[in-house]
Amino acid sequence: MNALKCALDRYGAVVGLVLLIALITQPLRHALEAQMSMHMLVQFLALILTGMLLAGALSIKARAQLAQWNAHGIAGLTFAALVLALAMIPRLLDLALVDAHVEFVKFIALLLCGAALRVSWRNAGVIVQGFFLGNVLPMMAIAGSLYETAPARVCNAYRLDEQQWVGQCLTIVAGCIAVVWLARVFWNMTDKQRPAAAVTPAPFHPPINREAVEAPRSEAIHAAATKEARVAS
Amino acid sequence: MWRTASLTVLAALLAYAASAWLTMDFNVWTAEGARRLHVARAKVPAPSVALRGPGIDATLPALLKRDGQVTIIDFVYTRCTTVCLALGSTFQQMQSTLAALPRLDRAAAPRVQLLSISFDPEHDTTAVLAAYAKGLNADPARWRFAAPVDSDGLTKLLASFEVVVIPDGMGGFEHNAALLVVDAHGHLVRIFDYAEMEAALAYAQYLSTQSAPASQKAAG
Repeated sequence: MNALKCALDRYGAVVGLVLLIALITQPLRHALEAQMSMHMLVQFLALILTGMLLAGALSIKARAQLAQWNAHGIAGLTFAALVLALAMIPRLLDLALVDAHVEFVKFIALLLCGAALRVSWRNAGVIVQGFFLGNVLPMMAIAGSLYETAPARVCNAYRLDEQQWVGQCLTIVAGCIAVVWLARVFWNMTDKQRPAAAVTPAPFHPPINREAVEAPRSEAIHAAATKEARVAS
Repeated sequence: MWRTASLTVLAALLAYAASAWLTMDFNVWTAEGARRLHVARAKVPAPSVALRGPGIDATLPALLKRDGQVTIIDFVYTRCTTVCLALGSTFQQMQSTLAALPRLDRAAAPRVQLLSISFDPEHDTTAVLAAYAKGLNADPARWRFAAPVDSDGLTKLLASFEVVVIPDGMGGFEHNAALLVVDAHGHLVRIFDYAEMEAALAYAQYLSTQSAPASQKAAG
């Protein structure tokens, strides 16, 4: 079980590396940045995903050391929220097209944002996760509705109709993430009878600090979780 | 815990610095806003670009450098059916406002010139521009039309004035339309939205009185 997960983690990092090289190289980068929707929805998301995959290459030791600077994932999620807020400023899109420095910083920031999400999410627990999403999602929805209703173009390099469509998508994506997260939280709250479901990790979460996540749950589930972790290793 | 706190504070400070830079101290959110603020803070010299049009065969800065003359420039293409029409009617209104100035102000009025530059020189030949000008009832003494002679000049001109032209997906273009005020030295000094016609005109008139040649001032 653990060996399989390790293999998946390593494989994920390789996929991340391939994805990163593809995203950096000219043809794909230019194709993605030719349209506002591709730039803001596809490229941004792909970079965050790549960051998540690459963070899988971190060793258990490195992750444990990192966790000391990132109690409950607070530092990581704060960083991710701030990067996402900056990513909503329309000038960034225009500048990234003409200024190589801004483009470079944009890539690094979004990759780090993905990595920070991955190493912080599980440690965060429901309260910190909720606080993070409670900040990021309304901001995304408001930015989306501003994009949608703005009478003029906010990006000189992109068309007005595209901007309205991107705005709609941002609002919808924010709503969807909120619904999925809430559904998961409620599911876990009401499904306490099924420890297996509570213990099954989310797809992209590292197998670290499982105890910390399980801590708020009942003693029985906690015991089962630690037992399984011990058996797995 | 203090390590987490300090890392969080560091992230917040970094983000604050980045957003302050990106929004020019929280003044602008768009590239267009940044463009206008940049020009207002530091004027941009017009590049040397050969222009041709009805009654025009000159290079750009020379065309604009006349004693005390201030020029309001817009960028258009004659096939445009959207924002250029709005610009055209704005220019028509500015032309009639300038023509209707009371006698006292009329001395200053001729010094405010209007210039429409086409960024589609392939289609907008001198003949096309002349017909377009006639259609808009442009007074050639006040409102002139031109297009860059070659594509290098066009690229240079659009780059220096940060005019971004993109295909609109329907065979035309979308562009950041605005009113560009250029002073007697051929420097772009301020960019106004095309809805801010009165402000652009008032500013241009003010500039033209400021930059009137010393001989005229002495005579007056």
